[in-house]
Amino acid sequence: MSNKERNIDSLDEGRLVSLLKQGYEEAFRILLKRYEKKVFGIAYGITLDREESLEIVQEVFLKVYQKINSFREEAGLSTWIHRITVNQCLNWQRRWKRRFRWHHQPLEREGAGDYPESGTDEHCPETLIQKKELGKMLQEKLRELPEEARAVFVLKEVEGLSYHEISRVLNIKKGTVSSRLFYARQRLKESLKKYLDEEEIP
Amino acid sequence: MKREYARCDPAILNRFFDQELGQEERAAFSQHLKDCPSCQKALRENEHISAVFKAGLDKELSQINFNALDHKVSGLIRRKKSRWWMMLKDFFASRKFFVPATAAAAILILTFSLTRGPASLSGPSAIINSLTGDVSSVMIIETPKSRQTIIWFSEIS
Repeated sequence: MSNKERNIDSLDEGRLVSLLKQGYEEAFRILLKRYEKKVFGIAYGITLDREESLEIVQEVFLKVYQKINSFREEAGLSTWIHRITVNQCLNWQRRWKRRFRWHHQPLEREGAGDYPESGTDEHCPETLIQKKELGKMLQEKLRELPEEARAVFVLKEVEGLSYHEISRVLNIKKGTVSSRLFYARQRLKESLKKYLDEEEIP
Repeated sequence: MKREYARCDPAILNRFFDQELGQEERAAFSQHLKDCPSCQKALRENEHISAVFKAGLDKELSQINFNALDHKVSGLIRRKKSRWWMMLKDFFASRKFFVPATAAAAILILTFSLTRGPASLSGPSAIINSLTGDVSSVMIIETPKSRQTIIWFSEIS
């Protein structure tokens, strides 16, 4: 890597935005390198679908490219990109929900999962307590969360954003962030209770 | 006043886990946590869910070819960029346009310069009238553009 490239890679956000607005191609390359994994992480956390997440990453960067001149820098670049990503993901889910009724279960079905009840032949603690299995379960249960709660959970877990930052990304109150996150975790815990309890056994 | 948490509060626990409590609240909840197995368990569950989720995401990320993705996104951007002004710019910048255009311009200039006189040259001034006598002669001349009249008088010596 040349000195010039090193200098460019260490660009601060303001300078990067300025270069992006001037249509500097190298700036876009830096933007991609800086944000593609984060964008993919959020997209995957929300959609739980690799191919769709890859599509969403492309859509997000295309949108960033098209809208960069209207970006007023009131929020940080990362907040803006997160916001576009979440919106793209939610739009994607709405499209699919309309087509195939894919999505989370309604709230009244809480607890009525698709998994075998304890004590049946299919329920085998020895295998279910394995981390891999728990990971799969967690994905399934995440799918059942309402999209608003899932978006908050993902922004917290993937990006480690504070409540304040999440509230800016989603344009909601800080208290709402707190309650949605609480709700998401409670539901996940309730759904995964038996697996989490197994993990507790020393 | 020193804050104390006598009862378990899952919402506070959640905020504690997310490091969203103020210093005083945090200290008070830490104190409560020391003696509360139920909150300790709830906290471990939060950590567990977080760790499992992150592990799943890391695994997914490791399977993505980001170089290919970069290439795809850059290609998309380039195509978008070339839709209007880049197309125009490319058109003008390309040698395919400039070489024939320069040649055509040279031919045109050469043709016009050979077939027509210089545009700036005007014809001679017109003689409106002239009189020639025994001792003198007079000529009235008019300039072509400004139409100024010049009277030229000559005495025959």
